[in-house]
Amino acid sequence: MTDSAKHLLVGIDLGTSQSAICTSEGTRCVVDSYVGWPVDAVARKILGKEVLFGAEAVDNRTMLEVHRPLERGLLKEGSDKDQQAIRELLGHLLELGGAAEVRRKGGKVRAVVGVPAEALRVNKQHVRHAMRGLVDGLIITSEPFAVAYGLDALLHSMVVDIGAGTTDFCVMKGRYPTEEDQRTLVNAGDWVDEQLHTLLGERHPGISVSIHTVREWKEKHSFIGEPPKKITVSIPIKGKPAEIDITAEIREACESLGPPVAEAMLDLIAGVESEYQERVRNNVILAGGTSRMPGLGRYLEQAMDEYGGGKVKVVKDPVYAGANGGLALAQDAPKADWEKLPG
Amino acid sequence: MGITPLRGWPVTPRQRLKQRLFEGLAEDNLELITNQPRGTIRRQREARSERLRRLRRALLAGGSLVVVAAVVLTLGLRTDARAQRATEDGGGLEVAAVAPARPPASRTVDPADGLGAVISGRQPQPIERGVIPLEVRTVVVDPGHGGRDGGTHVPQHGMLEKDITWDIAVRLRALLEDDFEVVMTRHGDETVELRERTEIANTAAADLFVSIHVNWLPDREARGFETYFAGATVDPFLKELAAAENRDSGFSVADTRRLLDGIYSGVRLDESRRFAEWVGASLFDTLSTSNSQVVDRGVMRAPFVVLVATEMPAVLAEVACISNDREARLLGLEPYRQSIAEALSAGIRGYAREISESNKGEDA
Repeated sequence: MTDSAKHLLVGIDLGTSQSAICTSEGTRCVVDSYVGWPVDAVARKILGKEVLFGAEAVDNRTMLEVHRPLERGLLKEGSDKDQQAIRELLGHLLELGGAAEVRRKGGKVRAVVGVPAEALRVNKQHVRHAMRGLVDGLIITSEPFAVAYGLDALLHSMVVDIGAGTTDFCVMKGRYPTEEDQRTLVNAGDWVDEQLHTLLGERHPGISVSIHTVREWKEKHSFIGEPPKKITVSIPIKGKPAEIDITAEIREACESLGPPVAEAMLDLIAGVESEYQERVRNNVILAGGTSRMPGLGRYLEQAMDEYGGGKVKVVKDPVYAGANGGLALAQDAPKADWEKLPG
Repeated sequence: MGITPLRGWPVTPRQRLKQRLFEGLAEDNLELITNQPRGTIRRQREARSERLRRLRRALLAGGSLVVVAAVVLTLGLRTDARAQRATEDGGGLEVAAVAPARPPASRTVDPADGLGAVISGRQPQPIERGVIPLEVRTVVVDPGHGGRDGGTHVPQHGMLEKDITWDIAVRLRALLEDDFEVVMTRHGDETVELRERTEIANTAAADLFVSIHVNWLPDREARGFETYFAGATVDPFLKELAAAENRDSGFSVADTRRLLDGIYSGVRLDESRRFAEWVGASLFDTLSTSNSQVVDRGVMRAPFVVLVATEMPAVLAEVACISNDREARLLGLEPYRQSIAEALSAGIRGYAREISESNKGEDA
């Protein structure tokens, strides 16, 4: 390493649907968490790449073996390909963030990676192994804790990080969150997609729509409460183009997310010492891609009404809140706290 | 006397809060790295805090204001900034070492290196061990080398030191884990710098550290085992051996100077020596039953980084000479490697039992 070699700190939010990176050089990138390999030599020649990521992988999925290596916020187990996919995805993110270039020039890269609050140890170990050779130092942290740290909400607050695979809760009590301070639900964005997919199949027999299309509809039209307008989509039914109204299905699918999230939120608040509960209720922070669902914050506030009321804030930059928090942790972490990874 | 905040020590409630959060985050990661159940390190830290409180109460009850930095080290506690501040503020502190209650017949080889006299000259008056409720709970097992660093080897036997030390370490862990928390410094064939190994031990606040190695000696007839504890040497071979084992330690020159200053002040030396004597005796007793030609090459001091930078009694055992054809063949046999693990286990248990019994004796 030369004296002039630049070092880089990065925060990574490894998500089921999207993964984001923020670096100390100010780079911010997000990619859809898809990795695809060409199925054969022809596909490889057409695509001109050995591996594709994100939207590009989804768009060309007919020519690819596509993997979404995370499911419900956790790495899938048992598949070498998924292991390889997570390593490729992390490598791609780090490449986008300029980390690979820094290392090529002899600099060192240290990364804080956020994982779901209750991620199993085996999943964290997978992340550790996947990061070997990609970075020089590593800290793995709970995703909602990273969000709280990045927002400087370190005391008497609660982060509800609603992603695609999981909804992660974390109460900040002035200590690093223990198991009792955190909760993970699998009721999140993907779960809403599945609800919507099922409802559409039940109510519109003959409809043929992929989960990808359903996800796009949800991302475009999701809401909780009174519908802002009638929602119609064009879809072939039994081969014939048709315009269908999916307002009720969207509402029902989205509103199915409210009760489990509210219940977990209230349960965790009940575990806070009574004199601090009001402060926590008034400092609930919604983060993650699904937090952009209109009406969700209001729904959670209403759920707190009978306990004395509360306030829910949606972070301004939900997609990057986790990665930003990871970067903030990386910038403040004592040198001794880093796990040194072999090159 | 006012308190002057030390550099890096948090002075605002916000800074203290962040320090607590990072301590928790570091513990969480260390448990992941060392594959310990969640909350283990926190529980160990809390137990150690309680032991320190008991120690302070015991010392104060005896009418003494002696806060024994050496005892803190012997207990495996990290001397953090808070402790340093307490020391600065306390004034008139005295440093004492813990001496063994019943010294065994010395088997220690102490080369005429000139440093022994310095250490002896510095040793303060011992305090009675019974004052301190010592107990061995956590043992760090350090399989030497690993990953890119294969250690020594003899081509005709096709064995690498890293594989032998790993095999013995796994066996030792199995023998200890029912009674102790066992922390491994590596978890397979992976490269772990010496600095990381010592950090794992120190952060886990371990009570004992045992590093397993296999020797290679230029004299192919030479055989047997050696047991080391921290200290300087003028023996040119040991200097060379320490230099080889310390290669790529990850410590800077300044770090090394600080570590050496710390260890040669002698506060942890007696317990490490005592521990090494237990391990050496146990290796001889156990291995001589299956290897009539085994030689105890002695308990010696040498500045291996893993011994110098750890904050608890620590030994490094060169359990056999792979350069000796007979011992190389024995190392290839599973029962012999099991015997070595059993010998190390017996040494650890013997030392732990001695501490426990000396406490009971004092209590009675």
